[in-house]
Amino acid sequence: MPDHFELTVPSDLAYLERIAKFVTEAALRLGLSEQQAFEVQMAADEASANVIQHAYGPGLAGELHIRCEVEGDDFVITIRDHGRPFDPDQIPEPDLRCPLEERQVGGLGLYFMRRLMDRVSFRFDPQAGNELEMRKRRSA
Amino acid sequence: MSEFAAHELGEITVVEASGRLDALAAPQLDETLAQALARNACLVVDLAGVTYISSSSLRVLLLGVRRARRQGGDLKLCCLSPRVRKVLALAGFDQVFELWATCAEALAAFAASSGASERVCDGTS
Repeated sequence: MPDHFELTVPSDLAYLERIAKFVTEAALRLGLSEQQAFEVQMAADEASANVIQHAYGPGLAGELHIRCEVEGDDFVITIRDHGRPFDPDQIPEPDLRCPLEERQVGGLGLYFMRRLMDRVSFRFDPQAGNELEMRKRRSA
Repeated sequence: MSEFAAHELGEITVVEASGRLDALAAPQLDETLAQALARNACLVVDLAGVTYISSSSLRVLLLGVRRARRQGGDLKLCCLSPRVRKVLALAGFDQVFELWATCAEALAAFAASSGASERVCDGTS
């Protein structure tokens, strides 16, 4: 039984479905429930779309390296890229209590990632590239 | 993969969506809603065939319902799977959109409100 799974895809939104299938299968094989597998693939989808659209984007192509593994009680997804770094702390969380007309349309993807996973962390290194790590505790 | 189909019932346009409504699908959803809103201010978006919806497509739906209501109509959602409904709830969108179990109920909701509002969206006319 492998203890980790890795996937490398081009930075193209057409690969989002491939990423979702990969993360779902990895999550189930590493012991997450079906509901948890859905949640982690959703977080991975949001994160991957962010990287493809913001770290890369028009005029800058590259690859995403995705790794799924278990560390202790945690299911860990790591997404690496060599695109532009961005500071997620600069993105305000949407105020879900706001009336419809005033609600911001941005920041929802990041909000989902933080709600669906137990921990989300970013690291930027000009040489090694950008690394996004998301952790979720496996069910007891 | 995602697919969209639209048909009109009087002054209401029903948009049927299927597949994964992710960041790849969002521009096509946006275009489909824009074309529908150019003709009618009353939309029902049938999500029966949708297996997944992400923030990009939720954003498109939010912009769509704003535009529909500014035009005196509405954008109602129907036939959500339990998973899709949970995603909407996570975003607080279950407080923004009317969610109906069937398309018929969503259409009836337009007819029921047409007596009270200035703008009539009557699917039977």
